[in-house]
Amino acid sequence: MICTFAVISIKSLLQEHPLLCYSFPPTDPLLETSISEFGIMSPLLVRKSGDAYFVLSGFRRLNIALKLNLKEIPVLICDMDNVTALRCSLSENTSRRPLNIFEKAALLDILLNVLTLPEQTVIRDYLPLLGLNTHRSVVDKIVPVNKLSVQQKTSLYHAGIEEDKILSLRLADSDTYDTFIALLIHLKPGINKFNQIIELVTEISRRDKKSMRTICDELKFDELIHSEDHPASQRLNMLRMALQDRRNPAVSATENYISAKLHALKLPAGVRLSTPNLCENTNITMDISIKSPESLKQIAEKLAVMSDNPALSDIFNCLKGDLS
Amino acid sequence: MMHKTLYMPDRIIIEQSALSLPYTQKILGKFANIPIETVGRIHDIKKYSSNESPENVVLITNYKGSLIKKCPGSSGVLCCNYYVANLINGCPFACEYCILQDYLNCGCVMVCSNIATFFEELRQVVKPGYILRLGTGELADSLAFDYLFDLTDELIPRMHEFPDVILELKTKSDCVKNILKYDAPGNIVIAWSLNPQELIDRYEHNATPLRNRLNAAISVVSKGYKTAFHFDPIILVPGWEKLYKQVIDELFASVAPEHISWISLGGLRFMPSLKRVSMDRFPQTDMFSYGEFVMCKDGKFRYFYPMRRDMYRTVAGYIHEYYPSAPVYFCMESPKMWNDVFGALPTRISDISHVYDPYPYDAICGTKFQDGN
Repeated sequence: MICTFAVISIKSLLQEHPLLCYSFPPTDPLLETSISEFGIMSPLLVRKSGDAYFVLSGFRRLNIALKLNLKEIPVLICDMDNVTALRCSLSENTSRRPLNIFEKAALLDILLNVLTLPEQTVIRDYLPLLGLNTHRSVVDKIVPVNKLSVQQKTSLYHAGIEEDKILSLRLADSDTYDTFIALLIHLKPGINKFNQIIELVTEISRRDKKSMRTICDELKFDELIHSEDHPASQRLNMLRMALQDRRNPAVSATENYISAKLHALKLPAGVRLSTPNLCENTNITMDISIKSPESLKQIAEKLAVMSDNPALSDIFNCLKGDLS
Repeated sequence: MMHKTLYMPDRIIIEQSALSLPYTQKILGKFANIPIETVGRIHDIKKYSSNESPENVVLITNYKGSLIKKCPGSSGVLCCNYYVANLINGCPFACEYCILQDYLNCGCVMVCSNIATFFEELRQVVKPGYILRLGTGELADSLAFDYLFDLTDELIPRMHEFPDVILELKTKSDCVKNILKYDAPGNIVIAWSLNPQELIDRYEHNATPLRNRLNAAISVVSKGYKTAFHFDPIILVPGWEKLYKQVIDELFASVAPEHISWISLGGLRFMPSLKRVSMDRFPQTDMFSYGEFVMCKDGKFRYFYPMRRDMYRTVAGYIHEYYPSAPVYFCMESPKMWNDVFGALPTRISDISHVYDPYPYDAICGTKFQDGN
């Protein structure tokens, strides 16, 4: 393929159709420093379109050039189709650095929805270039990330949120993205807790036939996330508890009942009772921690009295599964 | 055939050592126009696991592992001593609750064509005088592929050699054409997994409608076969009581109690990983949204005990209205649940003890079975 080098006016570039642009963030401080000091050393790839030029590759360089108010820009004018141009750009970019999740999502979105390549072709030919497994589910998970707005992507990018959490956002409705992004940034849940929160909101939403947005509002998510009354970890727990109570009212009520009865037992220090696998069996597990033979004797005396406490019978009755 | 979409592979891959097996040759005779590829070993076949549409690939293997295994059961639940024969792995249906979507890592349909090995293994597993309940429906639907692979033609004619074995063919299909060619051997039970049509539409994608399953049951009964029915999983959607009552009404309007060998009940249960896989495959599912789940001793989520117990009592009650001595049993439930719902453990319940008891000849299949015809 023959390409022609030229230096052209930046005004002659068609900037309103960045169809093939997948770079994120749109600028790069290091690149900006380099361009401001030395100018654009690597020409943009363009295709002639009438009197103007259609940018195929080099959108970040272009953005920085615009920001720096450069008048002219070096280009390679090539007569290549969009698919070849994208492969060329991808090859150039991935040889320098791995693409981030936003770029992968944008790239897959372009391949599937702008260039309308068959899904099987994208899976077979492009996922390996991105270091991804060649499976349809990979595409299904990544492409929805491109539904995030530039502002949302920017918040996630600058907060350094991990890719697996960003991928989990696909499970949420788009009008709750801001809430869940704020949750990620301010409350910093682990991936399992974050997934659990989204799942619980989804399940409540589908059960109660209300939108996820409504559920978030009813449980005052935004207020809790941004509150300064409690530390982040405590707010995260409060939020999860509120969700559990709403999603599993009978389980929560049973747990609360047992907890109250355990409290009423006034357990001696060093003794802990637990009810594993709630109601699946009627066993109560007891852990005893002793510091001396004397402390064991004291605990044993208190436990002997505890066996007559009606609260203990109440717990056993509850574990039999009588919800009343 | 009443499948909404008839399964047809677009590629067949055969393990070299399976090529000359008689069953392989029979299968190949049916796929004249489908590309066939031969590979050296099953290990080579596994590289197709990342194929973009593995479900359209049929693997034919000379399987070297055990073809018959004891159902592993689960921690903390009563085991019904069931054995599974994994001659086919895979299913053409897409049920949102199915363990196979999490369990089978290949995605392809796999046929083990060394049938002779299967019968050799079966001969070794059987103990004279002890009934062995064996099913092919653990890692596959027993009959859904029968129009393609004719597995029942390999199994049914030889089951008279194994009078101590009861073979259960469990399905969500209506593929009984092959079965109807044979007079019923006494030791074969044709079983259907049932759910209300509303739930079939919502959660059992591509599976055969309830009415067609029951019509298929009627047709095998007319040939003298015994039947079984599995309400598993029961799903607690709003209005579930009415929906399951309707199914049970329809069941007993179709099949008389004397033709039913057993009925099992099981609530929706799943490993945490299955929920994630299912929600990725079916992003709009509401199946996990109803009822309340708790983690049980075996690591699976089940409906909260009191809800599950009431669910079983209700469904068993509907069944007992038609069939007071119905042999109803639980799949993977605790002794506590048996006691709470049925008042005793299974070996103490005469109607169902034949499923758990090792000496149940007459109770299950009557004289036909003893005759071994």
